Amino acid sequence: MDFKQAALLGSYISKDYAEEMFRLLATYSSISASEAASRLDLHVKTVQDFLEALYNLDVLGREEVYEKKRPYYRYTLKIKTIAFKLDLHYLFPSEAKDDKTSLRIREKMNAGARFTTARSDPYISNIAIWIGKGRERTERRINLSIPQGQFLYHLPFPSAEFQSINDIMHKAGLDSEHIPEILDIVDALIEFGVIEKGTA
Amino acid sequence: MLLKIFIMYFIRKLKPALLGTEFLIPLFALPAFLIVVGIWGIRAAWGAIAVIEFLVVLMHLNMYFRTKNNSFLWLAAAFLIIVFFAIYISMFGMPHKDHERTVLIIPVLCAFFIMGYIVLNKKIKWRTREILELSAMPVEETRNGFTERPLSIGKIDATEKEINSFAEFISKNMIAMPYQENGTIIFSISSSYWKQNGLRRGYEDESWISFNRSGEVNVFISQNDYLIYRDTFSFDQLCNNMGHLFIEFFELFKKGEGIRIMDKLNAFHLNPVTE
Repeated sequence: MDFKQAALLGSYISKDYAEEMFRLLATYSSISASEAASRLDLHVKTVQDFLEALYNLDVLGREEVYEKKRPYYRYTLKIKTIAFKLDLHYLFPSEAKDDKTSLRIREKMNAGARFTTARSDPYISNIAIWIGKGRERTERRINLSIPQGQFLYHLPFPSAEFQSINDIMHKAGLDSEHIPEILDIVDALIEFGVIEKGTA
Repeated sequence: MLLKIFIMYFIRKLKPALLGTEFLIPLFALPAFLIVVGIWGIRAAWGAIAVIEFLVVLMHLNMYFRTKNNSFLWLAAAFLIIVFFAIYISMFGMPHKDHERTVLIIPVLCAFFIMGYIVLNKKIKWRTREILELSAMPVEETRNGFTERPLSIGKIDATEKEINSFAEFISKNMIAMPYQENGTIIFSISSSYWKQNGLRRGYEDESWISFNRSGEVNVFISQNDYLIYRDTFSFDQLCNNMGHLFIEFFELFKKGEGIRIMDKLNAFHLNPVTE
């Protein structure tokens, strides 16, 4: 099951009426949306969406039937157990991402970001970035983890030479275990135009 | 010799000093003084002077306790003489007999001499502009690059005791105002009149150099101070130079050559009153 399917399943299972719906589906050999809606005193559209979603997730089966030439669906429960298995492997940084630590970066000139330095130790505690223009301008504040803050504290100034992420991490005294979170904030700040990439 | 010539005839990197609050205060005080003279007479005006000068005495005493610079005690004493003089004139008027007048005026002249000596010898002059000039001296590149982040300069080999003694030296000689925070000494290079005269505290919005207990040195140059420079000098180089300047000061201080730090600052011959 991928993340989207899991999210969809989770959202429908968490409905107040979900257990009652499954009880009906388990009791009836097949049931239509209007029958279930009248039985549970719900709006037919609510039940229709629920049944369709579970059909798309392959939990329910569906059969088109005709009553006075008007087609409608009857649903049957296909399975007796829902196994919720979500693969998170793809969210972990791949080996190839480590190569990104050789990326040479520095703060972008006139980035318009406001860095707040922690009072106790040398690290940046948060960054405020202005997004949009004119009246639509909004402030986006990013609170940083301590390793991220230490990394950004040592980020080369806009007028300084570019430095590789590896070198900056070394300067900040950070171990390789922090690489994923550093790469994450670097990617985000490149996207917001706070950090610029140098040529290799 | 060449170095001496270079130091004496250096190219100014800072814009000329603007009229500060210290000049604006007398500018407003003078009409107020004339109004008092016009309405209540000259003796009342001397009374007003006595009150104002007494506040100046308190201000200098406050500065003495903050910096431990003895010149502030001398200045407080000199201003106290002016206060007594003003009170006397306010109560009894100017004496008519010559010898009485002489007795009254001699201490006042001494007070003015003390004030002149202290001011002209830069004993109470904050060295903000000298520090900024020294930091920009080797910088030619103009790449701007201002950022609100501090710059980490590196580590020095120092004990907490040495850093604390250095902080005392720095404040006593009006180079910077040290603040202690979580085991870190922050040397605030203040350009604000109110902070320079102890009327406001804190190093927020000011440039600073910090030495923490493990010897790490960090530098921050405020936007206001960066705008004092004539050109958009490379910001990282300015921060780097300022940090290394303080490290050099620290090394000189450790070797007992604090006087060389003062020589270096005095070599600029900045105006003791306006700069």
